[in-house]
Amino acid sequence: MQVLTRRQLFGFIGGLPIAAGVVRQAWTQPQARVVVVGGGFGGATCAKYIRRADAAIEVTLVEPRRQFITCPYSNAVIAGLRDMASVTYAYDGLRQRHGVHVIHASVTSIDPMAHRITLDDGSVLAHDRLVLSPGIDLRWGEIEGYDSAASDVFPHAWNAGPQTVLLRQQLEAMPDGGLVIITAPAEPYRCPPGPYERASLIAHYLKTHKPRSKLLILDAKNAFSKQDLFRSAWERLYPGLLEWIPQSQSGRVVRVDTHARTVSTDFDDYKPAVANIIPPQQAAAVARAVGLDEGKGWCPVRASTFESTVHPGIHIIGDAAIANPMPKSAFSANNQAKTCAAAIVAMLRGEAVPTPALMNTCYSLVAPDYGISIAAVYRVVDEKIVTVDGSSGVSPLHATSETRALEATYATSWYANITADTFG
Amino acid sequence: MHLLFVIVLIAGLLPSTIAVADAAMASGPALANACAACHGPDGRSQGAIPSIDNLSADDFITALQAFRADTRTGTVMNRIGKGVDDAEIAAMAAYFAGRRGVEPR
Repeated sequence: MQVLTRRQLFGFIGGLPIAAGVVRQAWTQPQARVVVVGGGFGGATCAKYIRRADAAIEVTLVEPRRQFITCPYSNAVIAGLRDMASVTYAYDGLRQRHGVHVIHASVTSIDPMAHRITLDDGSVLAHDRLVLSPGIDLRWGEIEGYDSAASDVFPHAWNAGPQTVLLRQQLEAMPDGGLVIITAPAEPYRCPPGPYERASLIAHYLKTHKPRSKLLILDAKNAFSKQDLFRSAWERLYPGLLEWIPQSQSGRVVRVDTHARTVSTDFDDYKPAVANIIPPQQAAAVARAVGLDEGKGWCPVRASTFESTVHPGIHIIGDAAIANPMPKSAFSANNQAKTCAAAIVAMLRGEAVPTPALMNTCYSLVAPDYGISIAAVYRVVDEKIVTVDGSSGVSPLHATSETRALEATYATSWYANITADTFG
Repeated sequence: MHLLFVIVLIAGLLPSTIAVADAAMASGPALANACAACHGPDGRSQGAIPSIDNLSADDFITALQAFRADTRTGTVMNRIGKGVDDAEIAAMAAYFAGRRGVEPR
């Protein structure tokens, strides 16, 4: 343990101005260093909030992409309601406003004992604390025939970017009267209401531009997030156009064939014009390195710090972490990042870890002027996350169109604000 | 004996929730940082969601307590409000009141 924290040391020096130069040379400990891997809602927020809390800590963000394309509102791009530029963010704010070092490279190895990571440009980053916020990997092959090459024909679009553009182009190219299929995976996966928001907005596009078309959601489960709200909205907005087929009615897709262009469940074969396959997922590879996922695909953490229960000194936030009942959402990642940042700052100073303020709010658009939400507040008890009584819930099932329109404008405002909070 | 065992077993399996009164208090800054995800950095919002960096402590407390009591109509705030207690509302109010007129970071 350190004898003097940085704050105590500078307080001490402040009282002895004449000796300061000498004492500083002799006494200042090396600057605390944090490395954050992954520049999405978790990683970018964590890097920023560590610097906000203590600009004496050196923070390096490692992210291979020069620009980040958000999954939130990528469904609006797919539906033709937004362009890609409106969901694309650079790291200038983190660099210039917050003094974060941003390195565009990939991690090739992690040494949890030596507190070092190696990047694909050959550089080695030593650190006092490491934060991993790498998001998800898709589990290729879990659906027979669905691998990376197959996603060039049947896009997943579950990591926003070229896949988002591809799905949009396919919808634009398909004939009126075509069949669109969206497959939804079993829990846990990124953005629980995401497949249903996407189905809603694609249905809006089809209703507006290709009204003789049909959209099927083939689901590997029998219930989903905000289900009653989505289904009542679909009955009103997209009757006969959008149909949900649960697992119990042979909804679970087991096989795709991109040459024959078929999507198959155990009992039925479909021949869609456009197929959006959202496959099962797991924590991205870097978070499964060195046993951080205990071989189970997602990473267990202590809820007050988001520090790995496997390797102390490594924190995991966002989709890759096991944080239920918090959903794998952009809001959760942003919120966990702030909790993790505050914990890291306290730990580096030798102070007590503060009580987390864990929350989630997720908006979904069922149509451009029809928004619904889910929200909850959480606390940490014995390093587990628990929901606060009465705080968890969705929009009312029966509400006026004004309320739905208001929540749609709030969704747009939320997106502007959380991206400013994360990247600004 | 057998019934008691079953009750204990079921209690152990129930999804855990906690009454807000039983939870450790979160600090004003920690809570305010959580608010920023919807209300913007340091509570300064773009778009339809109201800014909360321009409220007096009294107005902040009145608003959040009314959302919590469902005496003020809102959307998510009627739910979020039930997740915080009076002391936490006061801590947030003090934090945001202290940032009035200060540029967001």
